[in-house]
Amino acid sequence: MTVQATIPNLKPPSEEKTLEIVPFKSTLAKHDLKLVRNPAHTLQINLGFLCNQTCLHCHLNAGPARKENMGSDTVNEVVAYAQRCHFDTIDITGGAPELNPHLLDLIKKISPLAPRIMLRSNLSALKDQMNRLIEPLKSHRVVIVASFPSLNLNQTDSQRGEGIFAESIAVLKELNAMGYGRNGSGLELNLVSNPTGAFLPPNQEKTEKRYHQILDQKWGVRFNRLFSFANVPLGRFRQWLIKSGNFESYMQKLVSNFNPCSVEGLMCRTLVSVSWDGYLYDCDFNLARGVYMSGKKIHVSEMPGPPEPDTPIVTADHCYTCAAGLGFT
Amino acid sequence: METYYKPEDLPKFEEIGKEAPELARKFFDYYNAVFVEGELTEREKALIALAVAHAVQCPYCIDAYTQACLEKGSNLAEMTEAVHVVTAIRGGASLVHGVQMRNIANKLSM
Repeated sequence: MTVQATIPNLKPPSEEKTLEIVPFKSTLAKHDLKLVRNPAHTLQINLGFLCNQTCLHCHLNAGPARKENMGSDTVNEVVAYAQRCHFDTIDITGGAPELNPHLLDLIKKISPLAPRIMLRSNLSALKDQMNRLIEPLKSHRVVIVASFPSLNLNQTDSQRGEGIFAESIAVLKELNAMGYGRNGSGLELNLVSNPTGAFLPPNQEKTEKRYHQILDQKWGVRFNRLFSFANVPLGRFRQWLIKSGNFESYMQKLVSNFNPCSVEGLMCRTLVSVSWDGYLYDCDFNLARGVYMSGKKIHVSEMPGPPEPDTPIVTADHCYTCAAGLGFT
Repeated sequence: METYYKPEDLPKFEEIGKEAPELARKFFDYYNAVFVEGELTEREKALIALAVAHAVQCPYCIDAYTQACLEKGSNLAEMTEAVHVVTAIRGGASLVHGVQMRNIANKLSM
């Protein structure tokens, strides 16, 4: 199924280039902070930009028309890299990773290489592939991290496409029936909530409590953890911000919410992101922007091991997203 | 002055303290304390503030608490219901004065 959220034809695009934002690097320097690498413990694998949805908040511009998808040779090179590095967590993302024909092969090969394997899912793509994927996901104890932006149908569908809210609830129920999100099953089901517009996310702990209560009461849905992330002003979300006249105020909001305490725990310090074509980045957002890890174009097959601690991380204005409020994990 | 209300004036609210800083400090301390989570959550307090903002018809407050409600995790359906609650009370407050009207009319009428 292909689902499309529509960008409403609001105000004409504003002059993005006229917006002056204090460079992230300068803000770090002002607070006497440096953003450098710690030992890497997570490998994030982006299998490609192909997706059955065209969500308005997508920082990658993923969608059904995208052709970028990891091939089997690159899959093997990524597996070999994971073998060289001994990561604690391997985080598989996309696009919709379920649409990559090599997903099961990848999971089978990397499962013995890291104690924790995560699959990010938009749920609707998983539904379409459920028969093929669910047993291998269960047997390899793959953690499912599912997008679930809001408890409200209209908010969800306006961000992710018509019918997605109802479909997500149905898939969550199905996953619960198979043991995911159930205490004692060992099958972890986590949710990710993104704001459905140009505003910051609510407090994660309080939102998780509320989601547990309402999802259980209204639909009998159970899950383990909820992560509340801000939207990153890149890709389709950046286009939407500009078209809707929200770009300037959103960027100002991110800048004014800069939290120096968040910098120590930013995910880019401990993560290596590998794209569908095997090149390395400091995070999925730098991948979206085409900014290579440490500013150098290095292929995963050429990387001898994890990046060296204290290596500087490349920053840009989108980094304010992760440093706003409580940070981004 | 092309309009009395300008969005860019909202962040200037604290400038009100320039002529009477001690009163402003007391007010803003109280204001900030009110919105801290207590028996009511911050989300619930923002919804109440949004509803009252409509009753007092303050564009600054509507702007601020629409954003606050969204950022505290409320959705448009909840926010719309909150506005209906305050509308019901406001409308009801008018209508219930019909009792006064009826009392007076009954006294004057045969």
